Formats: sequence, structure tokens, C-alpha cells
Amino acid sequence: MKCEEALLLISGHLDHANTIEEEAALQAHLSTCSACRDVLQAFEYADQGIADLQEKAPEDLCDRVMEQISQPKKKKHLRPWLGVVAAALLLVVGVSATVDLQEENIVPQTATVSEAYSVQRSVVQVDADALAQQISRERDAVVAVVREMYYEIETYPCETLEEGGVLYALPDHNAAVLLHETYGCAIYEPNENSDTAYALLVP
Amino acid sequence: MINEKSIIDQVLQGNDEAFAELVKAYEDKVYNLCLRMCSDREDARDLAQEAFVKAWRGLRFYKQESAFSTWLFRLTTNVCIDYLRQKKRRSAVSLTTDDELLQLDVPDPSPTPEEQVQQTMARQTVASAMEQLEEEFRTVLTLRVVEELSYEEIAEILDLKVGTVKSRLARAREKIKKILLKSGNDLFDHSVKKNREEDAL
Repeated sequence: MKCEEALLLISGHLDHANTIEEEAALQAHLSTCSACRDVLQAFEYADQGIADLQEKAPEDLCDRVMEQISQPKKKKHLRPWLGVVAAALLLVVGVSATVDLQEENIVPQTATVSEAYSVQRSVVQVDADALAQQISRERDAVVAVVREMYYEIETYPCETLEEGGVLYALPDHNAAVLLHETYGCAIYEPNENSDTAYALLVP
Repeated sequence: MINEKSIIDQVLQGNDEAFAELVKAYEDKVYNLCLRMCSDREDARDLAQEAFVKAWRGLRFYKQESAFSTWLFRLTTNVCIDYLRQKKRRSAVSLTTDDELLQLDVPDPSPTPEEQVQQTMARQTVASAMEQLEEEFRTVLTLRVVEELSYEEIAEILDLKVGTVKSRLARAREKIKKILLKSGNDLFDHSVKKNREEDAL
């Protein structure tokens, strides 16, 4: 056995992952190769050193988690660039003012920003929403419109649509509702009894 | 051992308080995974918190065909990797400087001052070596050596083949060995020399 091959088996030996044959071959090699015996000792030392670095979690971790999940859920999940625009808008018109992005009679100095926001918003939303409605009708399914990839949906089977976007098959109706509650995604449902559910990811 | 399935069912039925039991059961493991991935206690606490909150939000998406721990570690690993990539984008500067090394506590309660210094230095050297490993090697080594997961579980968490996990672990160990040797770790040299002497006898 070459030392290069032994390296893999030395690592496997530490993880108790070698087969009986591999282990026998390794031991035979180690009995004649002091360099590989050194490697084994060095690996053991490093493993022990890494394992010894473990610490207790901070005492307040659980409380912090529970405090955060007990807070009211976010109603809307803006894409980062929309967040910047919205923040700029809030700065201009004042935090206490009621901001209605669809209103036409917004103070003049905010018009450019708000127009940009409304136009972008409507262009993205109309297409996606129409598509979601269409899928919801045709497949008798609840459809949540998502604007960015959430880790929750990435492992579900998906299909790429000709109209644009990717459709993820969700496990049930509640999963779509959860996306709505967590991220504020729009959802379309033909009726409350439908248990077929999708997440429509649009660019 | 807590009954995870029963707790998960309770949380899914709206009993948020039950989630605390899952946090308590996994907080050390999740925190240590984050700590080894990001090498900063404060960041590790924030990342662990983020991972648990995401787990709570996404619990409905947990398909019970794999172990809850595997699902949670996968989620935590993704949180850490996202964080590291964002951090890398924000700053092209190397993550490791001597000033940034963790000040590590010594676990043994009764060493002499000299031993204490030696132990602390050894721990700092290993922590620093882990920090210098590329993300893919640090991840696999942490999941195996710190979390003690099987190759199959690591493969599931990282979307790799079991054979890839095996070879990547060997390469990770070889890399960290080189970093430790390069750092002139006395204890490390001592360990090898000592065993050589023992072999010679």
C-alpha cells in the first residue's frame, strides 16, 4: 500500500469507518511505515484538539430565541433594494406620516422615489400574481408567490414554467399559509379544501 | 432523551413554549457548530439564535423521514455558510489575524500556571488552525469531530456522496496537520516525537 492510499484509511480509522479488509491492510502498512504512524498520531492529536474546543452555549441563548419567536410575525418581506427605497421614502416624508405607496398626492420631493417604487412593484407583481391565479385555478391548488429563494422550499420537487418562474410542490395547504405568515407572501387559493399547494418563485 | 416527535407536534399545533425544549436539547451542539464555523463567540451566539428561529419558522417543512438533528444541522450549516459568504463579500481581508484569535478558557480547573499557559496556547493554536482551513474542510471536520456525525449524516447535510465525505475528511485532516506543524505547535511536535520514541522502544 502506498502512503497516499494509507492517508484515506488513517482518516477512516479515526472515524471507525473502515471495512475489516481496509483496517487489516492499514495495520499491515502501519507496522512497516513510521511516517504513516506519525501521521496517525498527528491526526489523533488534531482531532482531540478540535474536540476539546467545545464550549457550553451562552446561558441566555434559549431565552433570546424564545423572545424572538414570541414577537409578532413580520407582515411583509421586502426585497433588500425595496427596503432601501422604502427607508429613503420614510426619511423624506417623516417616520410618523402614513405612507401609501399607491397614492398619487404624495409630497412632490418624494414623487420620483415613490413612482419608481410603484412602477417596479406593479410590473413584478402583476405578472406573478396573474400567473399564480392561473395556476391556482387550473390545478385547483393553493399557490404562494415567493420573490426569493427561502431555504424552506428548496428541497421540494420543482418544475420550471414556460411563462417564467419555478414552481415548487409543497407538502400541504398549511405550508403555503406558513410562507404567507412568515414572509408576507401573497397566496391564492381556489377554495379552502384544496390540499395541493405550490410556491411560485418569480425572479 | 426528550420525545422530539411529540414536542414537534406540540409546536406545530401552536404551542410555541414547547420549542424551548428543543432549543435546550440542541443549543450546545448548534452553538459549537456555529462557533467553529465563524470563530467568534458573539457571532456564534447570533448565528445559533438565527438557526433556531429559522427552525421554528420552518418546522412545518421538516419532513420526518430524516432525523430532526440532521435537518437542524443542515439548516445551521446553511446559516453559517451564508454568513461567511456575506462576510467575505463585505471584506476581502483575511479572516485571521493574531488579534482576532479567540481568548479560550482553560477547561481543566487545577493546572499549574505554566500548564495553564501551555494549554491555552495549544487551544488557541488549534482554534486558529481551524479558522485557517477553507470553509468546505472546516465544515466537514466540525460535523465529524465536534458533532460526531456519521458519514451518511454529513453526506445528507452537505448534499455530498459518502465517498466524497470520506476523502474530504482525509484531506481536511492533512491540511490541518500541515497548518499546525507550520505554526510550530510544540505540543504537536512533542506528541509525534513521543510516539516515535515509544515505537522505537
